[in-house]
Formats: sequence, structure tokens, C-alpha cells
Amino acid sequence: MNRVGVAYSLTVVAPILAGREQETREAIEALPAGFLARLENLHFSRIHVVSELIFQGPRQRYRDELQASQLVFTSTFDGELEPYLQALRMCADTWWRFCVGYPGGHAPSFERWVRDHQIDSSLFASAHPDATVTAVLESLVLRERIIDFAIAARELEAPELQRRFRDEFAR
Amino acid sequence: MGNTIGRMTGLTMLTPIRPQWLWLLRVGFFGGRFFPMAQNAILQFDFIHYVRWAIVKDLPGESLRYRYLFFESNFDGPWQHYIDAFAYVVPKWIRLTWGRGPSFPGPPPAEPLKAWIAMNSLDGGHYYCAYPEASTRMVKGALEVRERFERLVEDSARMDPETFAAAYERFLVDSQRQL
Repeated sequence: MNRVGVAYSLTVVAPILAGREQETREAIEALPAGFLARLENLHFSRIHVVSELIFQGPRQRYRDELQASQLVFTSTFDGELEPYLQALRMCADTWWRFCVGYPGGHAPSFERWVRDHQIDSSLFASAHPDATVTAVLESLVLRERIIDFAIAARELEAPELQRRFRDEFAR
Repeated sequence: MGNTIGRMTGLTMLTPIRPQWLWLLRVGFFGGRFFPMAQNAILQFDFIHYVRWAIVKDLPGESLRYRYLFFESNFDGPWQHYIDAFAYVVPKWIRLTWGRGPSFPGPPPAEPLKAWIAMNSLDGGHYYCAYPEASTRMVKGALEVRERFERLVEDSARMDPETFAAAYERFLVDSQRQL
């Protein structure tokens, strides 16, 4: 269940090449804050390295040890997976180039590789499942404009209030 | 940056599932798609934007004894606040989900649960949000107001000034919680 409303949850887990773990961490942590803003329909994303499966204590009967550190990439975006993956091609080398078998963002097999490493969500939920990034951003800007207008228009008489309201919003 | 940006926090955990309880999680998650009680229990707090659970069956090149529960939540505020709310308001849902793993300290109280989350929270990396300063409440409120406001803008062309002033006043009163 990767979809709720217009939102899609993409989870990709891929092993990191032997000896490249530190380099991967450094590359990910050096990404500028707005690096992923180029993906216009992306709400949230996280990229990180998992180097161990945390042992839960004596009540855990067996201890699982990872042979390779894993790169975990998650995205929550609005729209369909295929166009999102197309958009992802232009920046995905930044983090996936450290992973085993990664063909590169420009390779025809890019999409296949991502889908092969995708883990489907068992349950996915959202407080605003039908909102696109554009709708959220526009609504937040409008909210600020409404507040500003309400403060500025407190003392206006009805005809002037209506005129200014329409000047401000009805265009 | 790791798992925070602006007022947002990303909490990610990967915890083992005891094999005898795998079926229960599968049934629970499947049921959760059609019966919104579980989703409503989690989303009622108004600080979670998105949340996902996934059962990890295997990982490429790895031979694992357990299946793992992958959990990721994107919310506003520090996770310590979020856990207090969960531990005391929906402890049954929490126990039902993560109690399928070994050594889970079923809430309440919240403190052992916080220690367990601190131990399992996956740190580091890069975190991104398109609206890092907007709380869940702000986003939901802004979306609701927008819809109502667009109607007012449309209607304002047909109203005389007095009717418009009354409608505008009504809009502000109706929207004050979202503004």
C-alpha cells in the first residue's frame, strides 16, 4: 500500500559497496538543505546509512549481522511513481553511486534497479493525503496574505473593504 | 542535518519481529487499509504529516533470521512530545504494533518507551521537507481555509458591500482556528 490519496511512499534499500560506507555518509551529509527541492512534487525525503540491525537484548534469540551497510532512501511525493523516477534520474547518482549494481541515473536500467530494491509499505497514512506540494505551498502563502489583509482591513467601512478585498484577491 | 529540518523531525526505526507474530502484523496492516481506526488513532494528534510501516522480508545479499518492521514518521516537534501522547492515549495500538518484537517496553509509562525509541532511532543522513516551517495543523488549516476563501472571492463579485462585509466577517469567525 504505497499510495494514500495523491501521495506515494517510496522506500528503497540497497547495499553499499564494500569499503565505501564512510564516503557514502560524507556525501549524503554534505548535501545542501535544498538539494532535493528540484523535485517539485516531493513532500519529504530521507537518505541515510544503516550499518547495523540493533540487537534488542537478551530476549532476542538470534542476532542478525549485516554483511553490508544499507543505504535507505525514502520519498513521499504526489503523483505517479514513473514520472517521479524520471525526475530522480538527474540527482540520484549523488547517493546511489555507492551502491552495489547501481547502473547510473542515465542508464536504461535505472528504473528497474530502483524497483528491484523497493520495499512496499504495508500501511501508509497522512494527515493531508489529497494535497500536492503545490497546493500546500500556495495555501500557506494565501493563509499569510489573508492574515495580513485582515489586520490591515480592521477599521474599513463595507464599500472600501469590498473594494480592497477584490483588488487584493480577485485577480 | 540528519533527521530534522525547520520544525520537522523524521523518526525511522527498523526493529525485529518475532516470527510467531508476523501474521498478526500482516493482518493488522491489511485491515488498517480498509478500517481507518488504526490510521485515525495515529493521525488524531495533528502533528504527523506522513507515516509508513513496511515489513522487510529480506535484504539483497543478506541472510536474516528475522523479518523487520520498518517505520518512518514525519512530524512537527521533537519526538519526545509525540511519544508522550502515544504512550498515554493509544497504548494498545503501540503495543499491538511494536509489541510483536522482542523486549518491547509496552506503554504506559512513556519513559521506557522513549528509551527504547532512542535506542532504535536511526540517526544521521540527509533530511528534506518542502515546507519545513509548516506544522501539520498549519498545513491542514491552510488547505481548509483556501477552499472556503475561494468561494468567498467568487461570491464577492455578486454581493453588495453590506452583504459582503457580513460574509467576510463570517469567514474570519469560521476560519479563526485555521488562521
